Amino acid sequence: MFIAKGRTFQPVKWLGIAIVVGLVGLCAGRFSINSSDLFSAIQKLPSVLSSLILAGQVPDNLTQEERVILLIRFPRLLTALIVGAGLAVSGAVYQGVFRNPLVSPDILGVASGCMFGAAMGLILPGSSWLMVQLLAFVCGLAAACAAMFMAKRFGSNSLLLMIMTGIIVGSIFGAGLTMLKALADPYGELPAIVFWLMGSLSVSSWSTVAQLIVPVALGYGLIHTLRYRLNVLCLGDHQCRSLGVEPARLRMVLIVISSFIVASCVATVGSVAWIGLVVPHMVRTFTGANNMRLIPLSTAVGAIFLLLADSVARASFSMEIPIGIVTSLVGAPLFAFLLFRFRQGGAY
Amino acid sequence: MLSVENVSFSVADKQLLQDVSFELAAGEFLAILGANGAGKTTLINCLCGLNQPSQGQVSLNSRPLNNMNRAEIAQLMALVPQQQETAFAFTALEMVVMGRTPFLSTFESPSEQDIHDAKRVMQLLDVGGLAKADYNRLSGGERQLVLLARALFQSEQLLLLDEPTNHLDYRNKFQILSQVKRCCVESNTAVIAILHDPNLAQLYADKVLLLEHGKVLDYGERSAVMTSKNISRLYGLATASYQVASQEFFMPQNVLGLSLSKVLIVTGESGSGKTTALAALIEQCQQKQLPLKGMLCPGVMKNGRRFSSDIVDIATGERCLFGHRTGVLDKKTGTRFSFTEAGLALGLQALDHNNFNQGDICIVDEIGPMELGGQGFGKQIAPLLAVANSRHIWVVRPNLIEQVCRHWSLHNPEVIGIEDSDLSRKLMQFISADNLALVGEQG
Repeated sequence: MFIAKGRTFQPVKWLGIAIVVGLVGLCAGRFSINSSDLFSAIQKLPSVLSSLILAGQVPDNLTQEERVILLIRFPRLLTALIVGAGLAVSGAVYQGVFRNPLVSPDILGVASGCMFGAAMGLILPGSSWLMVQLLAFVCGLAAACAAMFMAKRFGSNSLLLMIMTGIIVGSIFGAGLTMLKALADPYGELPAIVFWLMGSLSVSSWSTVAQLIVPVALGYGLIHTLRYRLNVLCLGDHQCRSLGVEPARLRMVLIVISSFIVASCVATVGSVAWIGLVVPHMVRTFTGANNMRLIPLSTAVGAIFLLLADSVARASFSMEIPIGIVTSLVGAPLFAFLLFRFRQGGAY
Repeated sequence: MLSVENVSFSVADKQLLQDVSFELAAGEFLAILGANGAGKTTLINCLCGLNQPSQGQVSLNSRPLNNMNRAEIAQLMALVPQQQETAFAFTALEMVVMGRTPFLSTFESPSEQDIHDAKRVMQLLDVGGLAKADYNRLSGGERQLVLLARALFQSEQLLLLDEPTNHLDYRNKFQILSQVKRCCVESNTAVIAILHDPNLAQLYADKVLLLEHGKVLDYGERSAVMTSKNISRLYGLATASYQVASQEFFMPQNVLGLSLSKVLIVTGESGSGKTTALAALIEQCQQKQLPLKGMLCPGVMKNGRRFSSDIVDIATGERCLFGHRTGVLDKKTGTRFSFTEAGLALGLQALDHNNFNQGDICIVDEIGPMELGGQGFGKQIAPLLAVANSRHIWVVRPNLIEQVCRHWSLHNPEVIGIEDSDLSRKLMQFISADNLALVGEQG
């Protein structure tokens, strides 16, 4: 492994942290649950999962506590982990590809596209929740494709041009979103759109997990194998070519994969600010810029960060507060602290 | 190892390289010299396949570069780029290990063995202690050594160095190039380096290629190419050579306070008879069998202005039409004249530094705005000044004298006005002055 000693990514350690945080997260909430309920529920997890997958229905021998844990909190916990991981890893990839630590996954207008698509889905009469998510996903990918297509048509492959076309596409979809909000029924549709935009994991279910796990896991797998090439890409096109790597193709592949991940995540849970931008930043602050470590670590930290944020969001107040508020409120001071702490040995 | 045949490269109708050809064998060090914007980096980029030549061919080990993919090229040829910060802080070791990239498949990453080998290369270059340091925090010299280590780790067959001594202090400059030279000798590495200092080329190169505006000015063995005339021509700066420990070095004449040649300026307004006076002088010299070289432009005047002009190669006596007044301002030349190709060619021949020897006397009629802008015969002047003991009589208009002196770094040249009644005697005196007295004269 191309990793310096002492700064190794240890999957077991991070899995342990995720499990501990997960268990705490399962117990936290307005509906109080003690550890024996938790233990019995976890024992029933395999049977519940198998009956859900095979028979498509929930077994009826569950207590109320077990139902809360297995059908509400567990899928929600997994959704938080997957979305956090997905947004963080795509943020890390975007920052590497654009060679800029200030780049967020929305740089090509993916999130704007998703929001527009979701708002459209919420306004269109009779569209199901699945339809909303599908529209968000399609519009998110369409935005990224449009930005890349425009950059290519303008005749250059420059990063700056792609950022520009991303801004163009983002603002068009942003305008479209405002238009939809203006047209929306202020008592029904408009609040729905606003709450969707704030981002929430409250709609999570096992089907959410199922629809997220495939694109995120697949995308992550590809990124994980390409992460050494991402290092080479970070050196700039000129050096990248002289090291025998064609940057344009690699860049395109990485952008497509990460846009796919972002679109899946945002389409499912709405816009969750901060994670894609700042988690890779934070991780880089204490591990260095090598993507061999940065990619897996960002993924792990992003997953745990969102899980923690979601636990705080649903357990701290009598009503659930939007997740984006928590991620920003918790993340910003944490990031400021890290910058202060590591200012001597920063990674920029 | 590497063969470059008639490579041309143009971008949007702008010809950046024209018919560049050279060959390089294993273990040879080729230095590319040229003024800023001469196309040196463009040439390097063509060599490593980053630019696709619009004409001609580059072959590596007898295989055309066009038939090789990027990884295959990179396996044989390593580039040390002009150093710049990376966007993110990789450690020096991580930078060096990336030299392994062309040998890895898309999904592969470097192995423990690769890291071990990279460390060994770093130790060879004395930067083993920097392995864990952030590349962006290294000094210029250390960065350059790290990039060199990466290039050597990538390929020991052919190294391309793009201005490797930029930003380096005196010690590091020699350290880097000595390391490179050691690879040439010990590992039989072929090296192409863009250098800015002719003296470094003189110290390290086996072959030299001089590049001027995308064209090869001269190419060959170092001793044949590195002459003060060539260096003066390349940089437009009169250069002297001097010996240190049996090695020849170059230095601008004006910096050394040395002038190997002496200049006399004949000045006067247009149509005041400068050319006529010089023609009389030439005739006088021919009678006395004093050989003169250079060019003269006898013209036809109309309404007190030069209407057309011939050009004469003083040494051979050849004469042809040089140009005529069109009345329209030509943006390229900045004059209202249209020049003939034959006339320009004759002038270039008359002022070709290869035809000049020690002690020659050269007349240039005249040095005007075109020459000051590097056009016309502007490029011919500096190498002529580098000819030892040479004497030069230039015709310059009064308003340009100061500019001309500054441009060619002349220290108080003798200036004679055309109205000077003693003109012909003074000119004769200048021509017949004792040659030896000029060498080493303080300016």
